[in-house]
Amino acid sequence: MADRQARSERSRGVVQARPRLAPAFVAASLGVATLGLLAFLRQASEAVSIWLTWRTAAEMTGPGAIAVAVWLGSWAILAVVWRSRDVSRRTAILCLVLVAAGALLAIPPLDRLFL
Amino acid sequence: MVFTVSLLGFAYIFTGPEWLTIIHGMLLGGLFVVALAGTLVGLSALRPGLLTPEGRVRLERALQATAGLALVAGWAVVLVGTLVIDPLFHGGSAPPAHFLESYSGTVRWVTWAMPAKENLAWMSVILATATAMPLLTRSESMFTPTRARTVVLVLLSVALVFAGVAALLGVFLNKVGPIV
Repeated sequence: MADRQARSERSRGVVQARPRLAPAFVAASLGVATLGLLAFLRQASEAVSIWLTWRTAAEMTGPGAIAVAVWLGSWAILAVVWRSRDVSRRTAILCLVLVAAGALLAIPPLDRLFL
Repeated sequence: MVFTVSLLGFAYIFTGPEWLTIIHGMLLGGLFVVALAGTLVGLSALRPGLLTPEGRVRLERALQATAGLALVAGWAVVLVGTLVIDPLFHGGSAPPAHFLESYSGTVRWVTWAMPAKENLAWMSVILATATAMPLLTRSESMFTPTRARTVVLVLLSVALVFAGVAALLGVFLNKVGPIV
């Protein structure tokens, strides 16, 4: 009976193993926060802005690549550290705080308030 | 150089860079926003009690398709934007950025709108990728009222808002400082 149900669910493509969603969500939020931080630093410093422009006139090459590296790197690390961690309330709040921080840093008026 | 395409009795006459902005914004960007919206609506309808078993399977497959389309279109739009459109905006023979920076009233389109648009688009596609994972694998946690499902719905909504604002800024940037 259990075998038949498992076969039926496999045929529908339903994944029964507990997916590692907490690392994926937190890592993506870290990537967003990194983008925000780099955007803020680019606004604050001309030198940082030039250093982060890795290809002529393509200003997002540096920040984009660094954010993707932080995102995928932290995803790989968290997937090992939080091997069986489910999405908890704390995880959800952490994601929202990181995304909100990233958006606020990337989108002025913060640059007008501090710079 | 001007390229002309005839389609359904209409002639579309644009320069090479104009075609690139059409592909970047209208084709890839439009697909990304529509696919994100479709994924969000589909996931909110994927609930026990609302669907028959066959309806659930169909909706899960539709969600796989829309989430996959959002991934492909999303990464294509940010990579084309970063590596092709941005250099045309800031560099090239007659960069719109120089024209906009020459007048104090339009300088913020270069210093604020363009960076904000790029950052929001990158953020949107990163969030869309993370939220696509459980949908592409048809995770059981997306069907039942779990916290993971709530987080996916919230992050998808944020990704859609970010993509929408980025698209809107892109449309206005193409009006005030078109790449030709």
